[in-house]
Amino acid sequence: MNHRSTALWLLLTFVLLYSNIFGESGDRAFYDAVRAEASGDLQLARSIYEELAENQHSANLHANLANLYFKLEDYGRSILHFRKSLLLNPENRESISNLSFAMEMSGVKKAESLKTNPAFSATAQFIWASCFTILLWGGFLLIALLVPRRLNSTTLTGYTLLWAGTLSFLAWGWQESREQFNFLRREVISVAIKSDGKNAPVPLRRFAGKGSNYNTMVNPGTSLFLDLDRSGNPRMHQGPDGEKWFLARSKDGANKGWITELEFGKIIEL
Amino acid sequence: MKYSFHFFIILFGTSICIWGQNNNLRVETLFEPATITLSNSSIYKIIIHGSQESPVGSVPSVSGLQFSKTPRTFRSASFINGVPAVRFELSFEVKPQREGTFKLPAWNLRVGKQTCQAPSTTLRVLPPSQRDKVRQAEQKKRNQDLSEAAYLDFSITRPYMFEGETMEGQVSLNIWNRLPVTRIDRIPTKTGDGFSITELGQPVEKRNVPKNGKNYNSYNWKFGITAALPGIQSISFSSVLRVRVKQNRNSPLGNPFFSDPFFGFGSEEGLEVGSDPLTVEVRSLPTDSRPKGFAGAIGIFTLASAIDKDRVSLGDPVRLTCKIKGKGNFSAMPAPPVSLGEDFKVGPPAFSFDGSTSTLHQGVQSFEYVITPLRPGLLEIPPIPFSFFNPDNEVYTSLTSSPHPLRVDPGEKWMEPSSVEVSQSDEKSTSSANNMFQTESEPGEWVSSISIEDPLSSKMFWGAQAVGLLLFLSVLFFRLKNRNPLMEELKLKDRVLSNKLRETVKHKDRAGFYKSLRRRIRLRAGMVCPGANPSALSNKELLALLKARGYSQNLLDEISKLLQICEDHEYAGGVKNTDSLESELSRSQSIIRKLK
Repeated sequence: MNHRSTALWLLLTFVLLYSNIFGESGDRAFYDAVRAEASGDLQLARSIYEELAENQHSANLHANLANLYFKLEDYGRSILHFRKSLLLNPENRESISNLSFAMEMSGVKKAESLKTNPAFSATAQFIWASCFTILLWGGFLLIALLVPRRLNSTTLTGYTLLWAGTLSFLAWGWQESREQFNFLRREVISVAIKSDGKNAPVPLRRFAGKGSNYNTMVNPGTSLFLDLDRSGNPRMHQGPDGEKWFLARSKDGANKGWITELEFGKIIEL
Repeated sequence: MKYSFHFFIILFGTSICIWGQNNNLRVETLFEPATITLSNSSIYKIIIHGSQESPVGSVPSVSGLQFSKTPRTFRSASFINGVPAVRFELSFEVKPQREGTFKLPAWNLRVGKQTCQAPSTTLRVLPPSQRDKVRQAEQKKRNQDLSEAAYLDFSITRPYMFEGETMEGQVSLNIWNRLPVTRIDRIPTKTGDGFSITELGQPVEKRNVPKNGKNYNSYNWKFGITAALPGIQSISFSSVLRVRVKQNRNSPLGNPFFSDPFFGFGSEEGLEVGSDPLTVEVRSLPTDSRPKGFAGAIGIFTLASAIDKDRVSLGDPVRLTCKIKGKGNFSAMPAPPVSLGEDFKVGPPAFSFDGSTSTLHQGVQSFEYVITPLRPGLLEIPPIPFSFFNPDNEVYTSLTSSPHPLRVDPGEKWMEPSSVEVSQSDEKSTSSANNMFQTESEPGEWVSSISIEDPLSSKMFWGAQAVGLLLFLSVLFFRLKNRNPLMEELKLKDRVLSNKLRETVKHKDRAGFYKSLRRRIRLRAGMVCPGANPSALSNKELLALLKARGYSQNLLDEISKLLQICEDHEYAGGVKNTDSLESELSRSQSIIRKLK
């Protein structure tokens, strides 16, 4: 018994220590990056932020990283990280303003996903779904409990219509929000490959190969949407050199082409 | 005594008038004198005997004679040879315009309800005598002297103008310094519809200005004159002075000043002075080579524009001031059109003029626009076009202001007061933009991944659906399992009877009420005693059954009374019950509720 309790205590202590060490290391790296940026070593700050962002995320981390990329005149990546930051903290007005300015500097039009009503945003889908579920089963339960007892047919019809109408509204809101969610999970931000220059246009190629000619060029920071295959995964082609190619298109579908995985950044992780 | 005398006089006069008016009417006409020279005037008299009423009619016009418009009237009443008579006289002053014999024909006039005829009469006009000629010469000299005593001068810089053009004009009122003027009663006013002028303000006064061998006090007004109508237009000015004249002189025109050593001590009279009419040719603007943006500006102008800030935050207003400087029709000049595209919102301009406010002809006209940028970035306020017509060389000229670069920051938090200079080079703009972003010093809340969970692929979501479904099915099963058709039928009957009771109360159906009440009590007894058939039981048996179920004696007594009342009403009839049905209903319901 004593051995068991000792082992349990040891396990608990290890978990607490691990979580503290892990959290503190994230904060410490963040502070290191802030100090590096303040001292003018932007490249060091960028590398610390990028390394940190591989395992953890916070709205301020991505906002700082976006600002840093902006200072480095890499507007595509700046826009990508502003979008990530806004996904974690949608009401950060500074990030909203900075994103607008970065898009202005990159010559990119405002993405449709940024113009939607926040009530129907992708993040609001869970709220719509919860409300729909509660009302659906709550209504069924009430009907099962109360109808045979007290309600006459007129009252029953009125309440049923009200219930059905509210359910329809919630279903519509959920559908709208879900549509935004589907757009967001397909949305990627085009970024320039460093070898091509900081803000070199990204080509949407006709074929999945670097030697292919292209349909059109888009500015870094442009929102593109990946095509999905039948199983719902991004449509992908892997070249002989192991490079992964994805078919991307603009939201209206007018411009499409193949881009490598190095030429875009995902906003959310699928 | 004195009042009695006055009363007698009034009564006497009134009697004469009334008596005299009853006589027949007679109309007499004459010129007095009947013969005059050309420089004199005569009086045309119309005498109506037998009435004092004003006649109605019009004197016929005679070529060569000018009748005064307002006649003098005279009424009289008298006794002629002991006969009372009344008379009414009308006198017109008649001025001849040429020599000859003029016959005024007979004409009709109406007095009261009667129509009378005014007889014809003749006026003879002789050539002017030597004395008349001397008098005319004196009058002419006097008029000349008088016109030299006070007169108006009006001048403009050019003998022609263009339609809509504004020039500077000047009008001078010159008053001989011996003329006893007390004040200028009316400042010079314009006559001539072809022009509009600015308001005349305070004059510039000059004293003892020598002119025509006399010393004058001169009052000068400068103003802006704008040609409104094309063609040959005439313009003149007139003014009124208040001058003192000697008593017993009716008009300043009758030599009031020059021969009177005591002038200035009499009464005041108005003296109207005027200027000679000036004829100006007003030309239309040429239509050839007229610029598209020409909006009516005529003159010689220069254009400049400026903005108050060259770096603002998004949404902050910028003042764009457009200044038009020079000479011309500032009062008729519209604001230059400003078209800034979709990047800016432009408000209506504010006008201000800095220059000669009396003429509005020379100065600087400022138009201030409030511009709000609608998007951040490096924007440019485009040049403002302005076209005008130069009347000196008679050509149109088009000007444009310089464009203004404007940096619009997305948020004001990053604005640094020190960096006010904006350079158009990309390098510097980028470096200043870099400073706009602030680094967060705290990491904030950490999350392990950036993802949005799809509810449809969430276990929690489907778990919640399963729980909801299970709950619903459980309740449904429970309800179905405990279902008792007989009891539900009884409950339905109970609800029907309850509604019926309310209906009978509503319709004040006492018999129906007690009948329904008795049935409901029995029904409730049947519901609480399963297996019993209350409709087949007497009241006593029913109460015994309820007693066996353990109900209190008080409740049983109340039920017994209630059943008794019901039966009395149903079978005995004519039972007087003063209780209202509403109170009976509430009492019975409280009893029935206890049966459960």
